[in-house]
This record gives sequence, C-alpha cells and structure tokens, in this order.
Amino acid sequence: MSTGNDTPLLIGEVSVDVTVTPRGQEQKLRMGGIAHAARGFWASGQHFAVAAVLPKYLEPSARRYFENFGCKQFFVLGYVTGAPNVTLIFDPTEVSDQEYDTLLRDEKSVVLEENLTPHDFENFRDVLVFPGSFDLKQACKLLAAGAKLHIDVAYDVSDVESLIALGRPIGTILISTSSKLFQKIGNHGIEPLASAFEPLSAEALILKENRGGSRVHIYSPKERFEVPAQLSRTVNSVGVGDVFAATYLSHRRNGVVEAALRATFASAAYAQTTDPDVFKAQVRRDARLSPTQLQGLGGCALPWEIRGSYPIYLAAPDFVASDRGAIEQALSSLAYHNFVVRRPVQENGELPPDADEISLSATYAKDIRLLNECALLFAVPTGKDAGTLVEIGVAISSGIPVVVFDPRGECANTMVIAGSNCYSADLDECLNAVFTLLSKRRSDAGV
Amino acid sequence: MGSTGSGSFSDYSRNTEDDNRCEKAFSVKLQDVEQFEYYKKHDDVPPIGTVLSIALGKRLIAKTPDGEAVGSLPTSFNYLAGCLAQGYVYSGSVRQSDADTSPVLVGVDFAATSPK
Repeated sequence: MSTGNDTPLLIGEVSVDVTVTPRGQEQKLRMGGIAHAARGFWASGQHFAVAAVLPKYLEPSARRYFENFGCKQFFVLGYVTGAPNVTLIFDPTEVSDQEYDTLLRDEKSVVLEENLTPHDFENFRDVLVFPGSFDLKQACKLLAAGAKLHIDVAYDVSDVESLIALGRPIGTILISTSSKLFQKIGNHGIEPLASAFEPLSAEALILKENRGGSRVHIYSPKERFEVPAQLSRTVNSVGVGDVFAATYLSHRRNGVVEAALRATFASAAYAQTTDPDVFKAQVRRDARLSPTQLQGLGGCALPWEIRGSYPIYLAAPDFVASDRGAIEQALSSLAYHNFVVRRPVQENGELPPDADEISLSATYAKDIRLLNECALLFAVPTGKDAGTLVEIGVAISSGIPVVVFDPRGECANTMVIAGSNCYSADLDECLNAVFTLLSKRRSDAGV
Repeated sequence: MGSTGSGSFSDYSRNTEDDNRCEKAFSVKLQDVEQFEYYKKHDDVPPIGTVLSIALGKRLIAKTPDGEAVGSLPTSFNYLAGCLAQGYVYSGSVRQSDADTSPVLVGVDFAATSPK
C-alpha cells in the first residue's frame, strides 16, 4: 500500500444508492457517491483520504464504511441539508438511461464546513474530484497550490468555463458518453471534445464510452489510443465509471496506458458483482497480468460517433397495434447507445390487411434491400411474428449477424437459437452481443 | 454477499471470496477455428472427446496436449486470464465438432483445477 504524499484525496458527495427492483425481489442498497471510487482504490491496494459532503445522519456509517475500505483520513467537507442524499436507480444494468431519481433534490443544499484549513490538505498532491451540489471552487481553495485535480465531469459540470474558473492545475479529465456535458460538446467525436477541454492544459482526457470501451487523449506530446471494454453479464453498472477513475489514478505512476488498461479491467469486474470481496479478488488476479497481456486479450472497441455507420435492421412486428413493450425497450436501448436503427415498417410503410400481391411484393423487395444495407439484424419476435422469423432466416443465409431479443421465450426454437449469433431473453446480453459483433466487424475491416 | 436488503449497509468487506468465478466449469464455442494451427494442419476439427486445455497466448486459446492451438475463447471469458495467472488450470474435452458448418463448430466443456 502506498502512503504519504502518494495518498490521493477523494472529494465528493456520499449518498445512498437504492436499486428499485421488481416486486417480490430483494431490494439493493449500497453506500453510493464517492463510495464507488473508494472501493476502486481499495481493490487496487491504494490507501486514500476522503473529503466528503454528506447529510449529518450518514456521517457515522460513512466513517465506519470508508475505514473498512482503506480510508486513512476522513474529513467532512460539508453537510447536505434538506435532503437525505438517497438516489433511486431504476436500471442498474444501463441497457438504457439508468434513470436516477434523487429524493428531495430541489430541497437540497450544502453548507461547507468552516473549520477546515489549507493546513489539513497540504500533503495531498493528487485529488480525485466528483463534482456535486457543493461549491467546488470554494472547496479547491483548501488544496495546496501544486495539488493536481483529476476530475470526473460526468455530473454537475455544465461547461468547460466553470472548470477553468477553478484556477487549479488539472491532471486528468474523465468524461462519459452518458453525461450531459458530453451530449452538449462531445457528440461529434474525440477531436472536438479534446479541443473543447484544451484551455484547461490537462495532461489527459479520458472518454468513457460505456460498452464501447474508452479512449485516452494525451495532450502533450499529442497521442491517442483506444482501450477496449471487457463485456460480460452486467449485474450492476452503477459506479463503474467512478471505479475506473480511482483505478486509473492508482496506477497513473506506471504510465497512462497501463493505468487505463487496469482501470478498464477493474470497472468490468465491478459491473459483474455487488460483493466487494469478489470484486477485489478479480482485480488482484488481473494485477498478476502485465499491461502487454491485458492489451493482447482484446475486447470491444466501438467509438461513440462511428456507431451510426453500422445501421441496425429492426425485425419486429413494429406495427401501431402490436404489443410494443419489448420493441420500445430495445429501441430505447439502441438509441441510448447511439446506434442508428432502420425500421422497415416505419420506412417502407405498414400495409393494410387487404393489400394486393403487387403492393406486398414491392414492400418485400424494399425491406430486403434495407436489410442488405444493414450491418446487423436485431429481432424482437413478439407474438412469434411470421415476418420477423422470415427476416431472421434471410439474414442468417446472407451472413448478416443476428441478435434475437425474446423476453418471453416465444421463439425458443433450435433454428432460431442456433442460427442467431445471440438469442436471449435478457436485453443486457443482447446489447453486449450487438457491441461485440459490430466491434469485430470494425476490427476485421481494419477501421 | 453484496448488498442485501435495505435495513443497513451490508456490503462491508469480510476478506473472503464467497463466489469465485475461477472455480466454475463452463461450456464454450471456440472462435476463429479456421484460422488456427489445428484446422490448418489437419484440414479438420478435433474429434469429439479430444482433450483440450486453455492457455494465454496473445488471447485466450484452447490447445491440444501436443500444443496445437484449436481456437480462441470469446472475450467475455477474459476474466480467466487472471485465474490462469493465479495458478488455475482448465482442461476439458470436445463435446461437439463439425467441419461442414460455416463457421466450423467446436464446442468444449471445461472444468477448473484449483492452484495447489
């Protein structure tokens, strides 16, 4: 374990994460906010200190909890009033938007502690910051002049100017494709995103692209590389980005490439369990592998802005009067991950039941043409829809990858299951397959 | 254990790994078999019952006792690389193989042996 000036300071809010489960399933409750990053430091064997913003009622449990995870010093940076800092999470696998709901968020305010002094923080050289409802500029005044910020701008940062206004040296900017700031300034690729953050004179920008991996942009000398995601069944993806950040910082002294690789493997391990010991055991096992070995293992790399160049054909009874639950779920998930979905029923029209053979033939030809323009077929065979099953067969025989999302198991048939690249009732598994198949196609094409 | 219930913070570390993925048996369809040594050399897939083990090449691969690489494991099995590094050994046998399909099929059942 590292000590002394190598000990990073972790700044941010402590909250309570509650995963809302369907009726009859056990509720999931975890210490949230910067507790996720704390688990990341702990699993990497990195001591750390905390400057926390939290409601008073949470302070004793938070102190106990963070100590259990290797926290060497615990400061209360401020108290949250008016709200319990409880976040409800409706989609822990993030197949779509996680739909965070923070209770009493409009009543919430933060009062920073006045009895802290710069003397308390003078030894911290690296500071991992998760902005929140507190005055970050005020908090930064407590830090030593040379302290470097590594800042995750996923939430509560509305523009680059507010970061410039901090007037602090910045080491790393971490941003995720799910953040509002990314949607505002980064939607068109890493180049404009890197340019937008250029005035901060940071060492590196890391773009976390969910299941599509991440990209690291080093400013000087300019260098950029991709780190593929490690996809497996997602148990709970809440906090994986925070674990990435903490693991990255823990290994940064060994170079940016190694740090990003280890961060990727640690965040994958975190998504696959909510048991901290199981998570740590996997991280410790991966620590036995060299950066070269980690890199050689491969994974899924599908940058955000190129996903649209792999159109996905939706094979489904995409009709107005159909049972649309699973179809809408799939559409929402694919759109959230920036895929372009081609919908034959929408594009080529929904024929009336009494349509004649000429109209049917013309629409059939258009649909097949559309299918052949697509990189993958995503099927939702609700109600054993005959058209969907034919489209699956055509795609299989044409060598177009097929992913079938069949939540009710209506088409659990040998030909459908074995002919598809992925057949599952689980949208998370189907989404992983979409990413993996398209990433392989990209890699085979040498893009 | 992970987080259980909503009565208290239950996910403290207990310094014990209750659910070790490394120890679990699994079945897998090998990938890119046509590009590997075994298929190129024999113009065929290994017959049912062939004993295979897992090794870390650049990627995770399945190979015969003679060291001929048969195919790679999907990247969703990359967690096994850490298990191998910890001393776990994986051996198994081919349950299904067919050279007349496209892509060719090699399905294997693997079981783990814990480090001594």
